[in-house]
Amino acid sequence: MTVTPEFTGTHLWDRLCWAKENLEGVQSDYRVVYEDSVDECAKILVPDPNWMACALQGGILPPVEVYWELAKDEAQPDFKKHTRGYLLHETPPVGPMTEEEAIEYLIMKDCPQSVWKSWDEGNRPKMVICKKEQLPATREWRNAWRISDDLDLAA
Amino acid sequence: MAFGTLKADTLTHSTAGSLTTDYVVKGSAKVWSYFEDQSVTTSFNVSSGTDTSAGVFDLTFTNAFSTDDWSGQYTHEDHVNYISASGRATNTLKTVSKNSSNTTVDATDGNVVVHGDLA
Repeated sequence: MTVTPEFTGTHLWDRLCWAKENLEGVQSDYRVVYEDSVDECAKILVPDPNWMACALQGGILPPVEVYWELAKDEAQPDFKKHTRGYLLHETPPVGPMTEEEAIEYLIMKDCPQSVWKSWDEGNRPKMVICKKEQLPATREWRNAWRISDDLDLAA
Repeated sequence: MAFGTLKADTLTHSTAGSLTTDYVVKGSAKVWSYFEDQSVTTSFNVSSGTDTSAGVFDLTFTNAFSTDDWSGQYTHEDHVNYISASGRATNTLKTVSKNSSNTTVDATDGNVVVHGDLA
């Protein structure tokens, strides 16, 4: 079993280099389908295999809250440049996750907060986690794909 | 060596001269990705891909850039392919693929490389 070195204080880039060298990519079957605009079709988020390997391994990725802090900075109207990038590198990394926990982390990192913070509010869900094989088998009418209105969320 | 550190500010060739290691660090690609059929096959510094619509595929980075002034290239086999200015941020990019009729089409395989300064 590969043991993660003590990476606290190590630049995130260097940690990713170590992971690329030492970990096999993990292709997840999970997909996150979400809608962030009524005028646009559903989007499908696919985890990156190298990132998933880092998440499962533990000790590499920063806490997701770090990304929220950087997103807050970037949302400022006078934003020019990140000045708190050190948060990525100096915040102690998170431990190993299950694949399901990794998907939750990824949703909170890469999906718009307006989607995942209120995914089940309103008349219909704005986000669904599914398996790859549950997506349409062909790309026909891709730009009209929406989350089904009669989705059984308990399934 | 399993995991070691070599610290050097200058690399010197026996006859061709020297360069500072800054050239290596700043000149390396900070993100690269090869994706097929709306899914990332292999990459570096990418956390996810998002199939946004036909012919549009976004990538999100694990280690963001310090600004959104990074320089990126995107290629695939169709007629027109580019990184959209509208999807540009320190931690994400949007690739767009079109055919010769200027219609967006799914890229069967896409190649992305990005250079810039990390946050």
